[in-house]
Amino acid sequence: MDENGNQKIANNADNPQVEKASNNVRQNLEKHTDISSNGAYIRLRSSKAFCMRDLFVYISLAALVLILFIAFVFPVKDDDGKGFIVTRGNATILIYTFGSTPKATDLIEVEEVSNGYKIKIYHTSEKIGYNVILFNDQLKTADVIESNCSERKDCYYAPSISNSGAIYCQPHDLKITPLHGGDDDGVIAG
Amino acid sequence: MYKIALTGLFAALATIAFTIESLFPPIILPGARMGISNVFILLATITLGVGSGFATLIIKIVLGSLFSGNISSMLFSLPAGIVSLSIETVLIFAVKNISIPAVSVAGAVVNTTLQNTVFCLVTKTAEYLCYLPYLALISAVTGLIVGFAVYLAVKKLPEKLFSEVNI
Repeated sequence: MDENGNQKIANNADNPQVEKASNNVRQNLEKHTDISSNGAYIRLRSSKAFCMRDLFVYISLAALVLILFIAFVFPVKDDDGKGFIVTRGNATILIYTFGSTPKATDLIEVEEVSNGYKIKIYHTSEKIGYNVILFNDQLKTADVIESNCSERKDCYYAPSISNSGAIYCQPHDLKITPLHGGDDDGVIAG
Repeated sequence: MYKIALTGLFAALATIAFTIESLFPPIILPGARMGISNVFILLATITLGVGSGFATLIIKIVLGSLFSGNISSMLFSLPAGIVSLSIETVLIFAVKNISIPAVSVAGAVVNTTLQNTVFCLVTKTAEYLCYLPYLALISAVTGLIVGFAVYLAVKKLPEKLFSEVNI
């Protein structure tokens, strides 16, 4: 207690037992977890490019990839799709079915090409942003062949899709997915 | 102060690498990148500690997204980056006798898988999930390359650069 009657807060310098205990804890932590970054750096500096424990990591990752294949690739329907659905957000812009003629609107331009159609979709009435989609009736595929969405153009570099997968243009919020049965009346919404 | 300066240097290099990388087309599939910026993040974690590694990661994601003009990518990159770096940290500091390339591969696969899963959930594009296994394979290869780059950097950089760093 100090001269005002308040209890003094003990510090490690005053209590050698506490200091010794905290040093022991730190030493144990360093021994088992290598929390000192210099320790990890020094250890890794003298390590090899491959250790036996790496096999656990590689086998675990291989199992993860196999699970992903089983979950998302193998169950994909083997049947040919009937066409494709093009949506922006929650709204359906275009339902394209193979063998049918898509209808042009103010924001959709249709051009017939060999084996299919080339459809240019504008996203605003000012016709500034657009995506050009090539639908191939012979190969039953869809592909974005032109876009002014961004520098990266992920939609342009995405592989063409047939009965699985999707093409997504993030800046324009445009999504192209296969059509399997269901609604195929070819109605184009706005 | 020295540690903060080095952390800033790694963060700047990671941001530059991320920004330049975003100008190039993806590898085979959308969402697949080389991940060169992860070289600096992993290097910061190994040489400067966990705090510096996470600081480098967060700065790279925030500034890189702003500079590349794709701010929404922060939504996908941040949680995936934090989880993958946490796994790398556990492998580096708690699991001994594991090589840097293996750590990098683990981080890369987890990062890509999580990032694309979050992307599919946010954009409601479940059809994109069928690309996940291929993206995981691509990220394993890129993670291996990044891991070897970090391994060589740890071996070749002068030890005195990091010998004064203390937690």
